[in-house]
Amino acid sequence: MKRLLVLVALLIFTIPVFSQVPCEQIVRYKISAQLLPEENAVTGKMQLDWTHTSEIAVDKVYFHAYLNAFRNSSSTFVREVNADPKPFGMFDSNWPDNGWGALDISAVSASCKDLFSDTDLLPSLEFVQPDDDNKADMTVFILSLPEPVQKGQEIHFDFEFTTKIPYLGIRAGYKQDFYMISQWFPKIGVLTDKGWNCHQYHQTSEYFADFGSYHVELTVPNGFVVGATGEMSEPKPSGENTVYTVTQDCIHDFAFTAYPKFLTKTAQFESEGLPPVEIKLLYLPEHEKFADRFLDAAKNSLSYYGTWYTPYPYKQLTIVDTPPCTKTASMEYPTLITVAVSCNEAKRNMSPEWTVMHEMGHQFWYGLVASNEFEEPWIDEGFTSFSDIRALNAAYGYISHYKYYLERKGFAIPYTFDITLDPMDRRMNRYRNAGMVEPVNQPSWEFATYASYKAHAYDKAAMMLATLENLLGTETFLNVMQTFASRYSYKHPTTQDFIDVVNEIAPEPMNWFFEKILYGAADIDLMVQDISSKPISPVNGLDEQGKLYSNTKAGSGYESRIVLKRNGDLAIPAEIAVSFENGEIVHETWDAKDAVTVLNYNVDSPVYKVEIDPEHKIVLDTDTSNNVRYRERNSFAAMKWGARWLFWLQHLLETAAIFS
Amino acid sequence: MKMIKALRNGLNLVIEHYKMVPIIYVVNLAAGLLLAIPFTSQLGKEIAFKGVRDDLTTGFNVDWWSVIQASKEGLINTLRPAIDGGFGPVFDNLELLLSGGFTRYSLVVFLLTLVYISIAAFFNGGTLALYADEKRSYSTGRFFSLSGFYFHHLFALALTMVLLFLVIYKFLHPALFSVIDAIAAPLMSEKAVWWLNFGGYLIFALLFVLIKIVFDYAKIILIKENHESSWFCIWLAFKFVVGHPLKTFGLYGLLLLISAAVMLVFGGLLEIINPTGIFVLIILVVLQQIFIFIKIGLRLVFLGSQLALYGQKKSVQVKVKKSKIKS
Repeated sequence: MKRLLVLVALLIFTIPVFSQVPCEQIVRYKISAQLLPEENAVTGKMQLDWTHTSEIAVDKVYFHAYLNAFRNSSSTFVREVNADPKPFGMFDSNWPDNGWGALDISAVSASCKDLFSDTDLLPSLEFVQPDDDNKADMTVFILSLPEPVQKGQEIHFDFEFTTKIPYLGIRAGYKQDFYMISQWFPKIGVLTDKGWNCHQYHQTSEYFADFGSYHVELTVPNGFVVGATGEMSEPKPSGENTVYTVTQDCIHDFAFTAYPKFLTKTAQFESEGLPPVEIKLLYLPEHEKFADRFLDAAKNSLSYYGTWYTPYPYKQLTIVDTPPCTKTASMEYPTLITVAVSCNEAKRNMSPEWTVMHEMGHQFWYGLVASNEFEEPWIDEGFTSFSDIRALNAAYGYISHYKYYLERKGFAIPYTFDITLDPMDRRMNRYRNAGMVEPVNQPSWEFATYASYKAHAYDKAAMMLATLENLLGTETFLNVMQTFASRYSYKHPTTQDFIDVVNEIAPEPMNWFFEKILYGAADIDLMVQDISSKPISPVNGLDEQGKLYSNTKAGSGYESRIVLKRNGDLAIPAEIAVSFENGEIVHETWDAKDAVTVLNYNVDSPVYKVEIDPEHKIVLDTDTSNNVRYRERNSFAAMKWGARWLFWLQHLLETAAIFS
Repeated sequence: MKMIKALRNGLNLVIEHYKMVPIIYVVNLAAGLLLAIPFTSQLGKEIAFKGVRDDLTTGFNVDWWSVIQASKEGLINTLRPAIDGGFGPVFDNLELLLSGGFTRYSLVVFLLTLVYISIAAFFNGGTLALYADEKRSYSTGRFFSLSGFYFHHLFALALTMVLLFLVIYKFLHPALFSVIDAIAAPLMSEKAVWWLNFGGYLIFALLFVLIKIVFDYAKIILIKENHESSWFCIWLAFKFVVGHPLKTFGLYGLLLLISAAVMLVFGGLLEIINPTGIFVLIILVVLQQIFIFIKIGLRLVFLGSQLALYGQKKSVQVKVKKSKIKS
């Protein structure tokens, strides 16, 4: 009887515990790892329990070995970086001897109940290149199983591995005694009903993985300050080392950092209707003045995104302020983000806040709503880029235009102008400057350049969502976003899933809107091309009897002609405001289906001004400066700037006279 | 004290020959207008009917500007927010001095700059010759004829200096900063990296000033002592500057301080004036032109003061020689 009572009690106490896990935990990682600073390496033992959830049987299992991207100069990643080195710099022959990164697996075995037990799979390990057939690339490997496994079966893997951290590696790397360690363990691919989804590591691509639980024990030499994904228990001293134990359910990645010089600051996020979150900031001593700004931005992000989309479900968040020039900043990992700021920040540049809000956006669009960042990067980057601006505007308002004088690596003298900007303008500027139009929805490595990838997956996607909000109205739009976020939290939605949610909630299907942006290379630029008004001419001619007549009264008022033009293949209906000189304003709607539309008015007053999209709803409009046109010329602004320019040139000439 | 005296004497020279300043100013204005008129015309065509003219009347429109940068060619592409106000244009031009890249804005602007340097070299001859003339008599005809007389020497000096700076910008500047980058690469402190770079710019600025001073005294020696060889004058000037580093650098520093003070006053004034009507625009233009006029005057004060300092030195040497003969 006692046993029965104990069993019942156990069931009562354990059911709620299990029911708190809101996701399907396809993977369960248990890792024990040690950081070896003298070798810039991590050694680890990993147990992975993986559940087969697909409809197809598999006899091979795909794994990512991301850090092999830094193994040699012929990896796909390094080739791509060197072909387009502007964003990250070249990996060249000056790479230090010990600077290469690698993931070496020294042992791997697997067991599957009733099928095979403790089978050594190391001999079967084979590197494959599903994306580009580049044999030098070792970022994906497969293990061959002795027997095919079916849906519902579980495989238990035991790995032993050594990870060599790359010097100044991109996203993961070390510099001096700073370590940002991500994508460092053998990470299983995603098995879908179409087979394995496990892409090579590309310059532009980030990640895609199944949700699950992580239990990680990190052994780090004493003196380091450590931050990691997940909930960290009290560190335990162990001789010259300290052991940090971290656990977390329902995440799809694990990263950690270690640096002796980090200072720590914590804050508690509390907001009505949202779960509390403990925020831990690891920051550089030189960035003391930014610490509160980082924390404030994180709280604002949790509040806005939690209200607009879905509450942040984890109990903690770690923000890592990475040292300069380490290429590890501005990254997102579950419950951990990396940010960077410069001591030379221009005033109201809002860079610290913007970085935090962007990476915090990824906690929702990537962390929770975990789309495939390889194949459809616009979903997480575009949603996040849209969200960061929406939150930045809501929390801080405008930003200022600035210039960095004598700017070079690690140096700048900031100068802030008395010119305010909408942060979304920066996205449009970057999009325009990329000088390319491609489909927004395509695999990350298929964009023509890194700049084009950023311009489309981040900027154009963000502007598309901003335009969508204006077209649907904020209430409907937030309903869409909330539905999408809650329906696909802990899942892997696709572009079509999002379009389906929009069509489900919007008053009318919006396929026309997405089609040309996501799958086509379409832009939109609406412009007022010409305005003319002239007094209506007297009516002359022959009447019905053939007599000559002239009617001056019939000709009173003005005959006005307005030519509207659409450049680009994307037609979005726009509002038109026609102002007349007598103060009257006529509002029209232009469907913009025709490339050229002529509006004619016969009214008492000539046209004064015509404005397309006066509320600037079409954020995708690539040139809003031609949206407003006056009928009459005014040259004052040109004269003013001409005078400014003349002064600059005269000053330049006199400055150059130094060389005379 | 000698520096102050040289400065005072230099100022007196400029005042005594004040008619030179408007001549140089008119040339400067004409050169500026040569490109400012087509610039204004191009800008007018772009914005005269557009709504963006309202933004540009009251401030700036960065979004429109980025469209212009991506889609337009010609002088309009050199428009930028930094030329607004009083400090932005000055900072932009100072940045060019410290980083090179004079072709950054426009090839036409660069070519005009080269022509203007030649014209300035032309006027330097007349200016220094008249300043060195103890009769202190000025006539515009003489100013031009002396300018013409010394032009080939001063043009050769200017050309040498431009070529020297070209080499410095092309090779020394990158070499200096590649050393700094190598030192900075392993550093973890952002501030340390910043100061290291600042030090690099400081070294470059000092080198810049050294070369500038040497060439200034080369011009002075060439005219004051009627040397035929420009190269020899550079050597003599170098010896003079190295022999009197405190006085020569001190005087130059003093003159730079005065220039900075003038820039602060006028830059500040131009910064706060934002014309939205024609009357204030006229006030702005007048102030801008006064600033340029004073800047030209200050350049001549630089020459006059350095000439005076060199003259002091020579007279001391002469006195010493005379006293030796007597004894």
